[in-house]
Amino acid sequence: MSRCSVAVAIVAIILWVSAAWAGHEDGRVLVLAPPLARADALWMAAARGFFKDEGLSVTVRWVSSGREALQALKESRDKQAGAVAFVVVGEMLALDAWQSTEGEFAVVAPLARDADGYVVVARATVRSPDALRAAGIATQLGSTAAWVLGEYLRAHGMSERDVALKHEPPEAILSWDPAGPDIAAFVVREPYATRALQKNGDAVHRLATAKGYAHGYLVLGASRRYLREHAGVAERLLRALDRGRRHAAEHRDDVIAFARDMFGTEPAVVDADYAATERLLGVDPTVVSDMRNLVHWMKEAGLLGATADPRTLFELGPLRATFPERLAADDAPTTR
Amino acid sequence: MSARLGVHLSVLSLLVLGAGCSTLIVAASTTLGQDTPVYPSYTARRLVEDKLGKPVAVTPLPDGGVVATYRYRARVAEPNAVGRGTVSAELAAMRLDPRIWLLLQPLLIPTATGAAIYAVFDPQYQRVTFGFGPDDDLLYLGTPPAYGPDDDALAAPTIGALRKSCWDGPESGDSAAERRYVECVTTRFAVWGLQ
Repeated sequence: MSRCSVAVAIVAIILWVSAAWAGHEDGRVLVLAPPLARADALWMAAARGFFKDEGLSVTVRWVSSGREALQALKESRDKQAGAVAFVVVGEMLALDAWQSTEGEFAVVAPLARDADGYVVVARATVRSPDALRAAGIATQLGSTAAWVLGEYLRAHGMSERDVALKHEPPEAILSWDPAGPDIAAFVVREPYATRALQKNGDAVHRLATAKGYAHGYLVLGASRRYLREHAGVAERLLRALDRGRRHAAEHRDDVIAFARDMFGTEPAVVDADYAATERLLGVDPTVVSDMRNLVHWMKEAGLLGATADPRTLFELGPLRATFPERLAADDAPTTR
Repeated sequence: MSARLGVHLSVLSLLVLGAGCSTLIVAASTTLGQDTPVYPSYTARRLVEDKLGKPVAVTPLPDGGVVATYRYRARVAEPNAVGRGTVSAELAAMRLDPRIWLLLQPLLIPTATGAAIYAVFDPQYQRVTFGFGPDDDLLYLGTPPAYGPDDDALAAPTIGALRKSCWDGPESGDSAAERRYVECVTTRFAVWGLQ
């Protein structure tokens, strides 16, 4: 064998080994996600082996804060062990991360949304949206609940300028005195609304939910660099998540059991979230509309730069390659 | 005379040395074992078990991971009661009268040593729990987090930032731009509950 043949053989072996190694590396995927039933597609994909079926070795690290997940994603650049590939976070944090990384962070797909879980709980005497005019309303400012309130007010011809907003964490509703003069209503996420209704009886009522006004989302996001350097991984992940989504929708008991065994959760708590969750893995016109409204609200709140153009928030290549029928014609959020 | 002084000095040295040694022995019992073990995230389970041994309990998780509990010898912050009592007695006797202290040495030294030996053979054990992922990487110091709806909120910009972001740099006397500015600031202040 000539020297040239040996050199070619060595190069070929090196290339083959490199490709095999890269493939192996691509198979290992770390996802950071919140322990919420809204992420049950992920729960079921992990529990039922759907990721393995796609040739992925997925580790899901459950983190109780989306901010922690995004911080880990930011710090994992160039890391070997513990490099975060994907995160599952709320819609507002996703937009904030997209802005703060100058577009490097991208949303691959919305996983699920929920409208009934965001509730306006008002004292019994407040029977219409108009009765909130000039009244004190408590909510966690800067949160999805605050955005929901903004959309609710706008839908009824008002804005935050027509009420007196007060920043309160959601658990404050449990010590709220509805007969007091300061706060006429709270806007909170479940289970706080149900617990407040149980505690206060007839003194309060459910004035509205976010249904018809806005939705809280969980979205799957990643850095564009990761998506570029690991072509095909997001597509495989989406296929597994879609099987998880369908399984979760059809097997409530499996979702409840997962929450019990994984997080030690009471079935009733998960059941409420399970029922309110709309599993997506797609971009429908409602997503487009909600994102457009959210961008508008965040700009009004000074949370997004006036010139920020969020049309690049989504990186829809993997979704288009996997489920092209799930993309709305106008699939990019724009300012209204 | 000098021989007698020499004997006295030798006895004194031996006692002081003995007392010092027994105190050190009592204190040494606090250096055994370890503090609550902590490992960085994604440490391999194999490395954890190299240090802590096999787990005493393992609970599989539905996502393919496990929660494993390990037993380890805990570091005891203080010597046992007998050891502490011996050291206190040494100090009290020394303050009271050095001769009493000298007389007590034959009693205190063996007591302190015995207390230390007892501490060595009566180790205190604690348990520590870690959660590992399906690839046996350490994910949780303890168990996975509790289920919980978390509505992550964004922090309010500072008042200065709110004002500045509304200012689009109009020329002085541009009343339309000033009105836009006032509208913008008023809206942003309202969104953040600023009166």
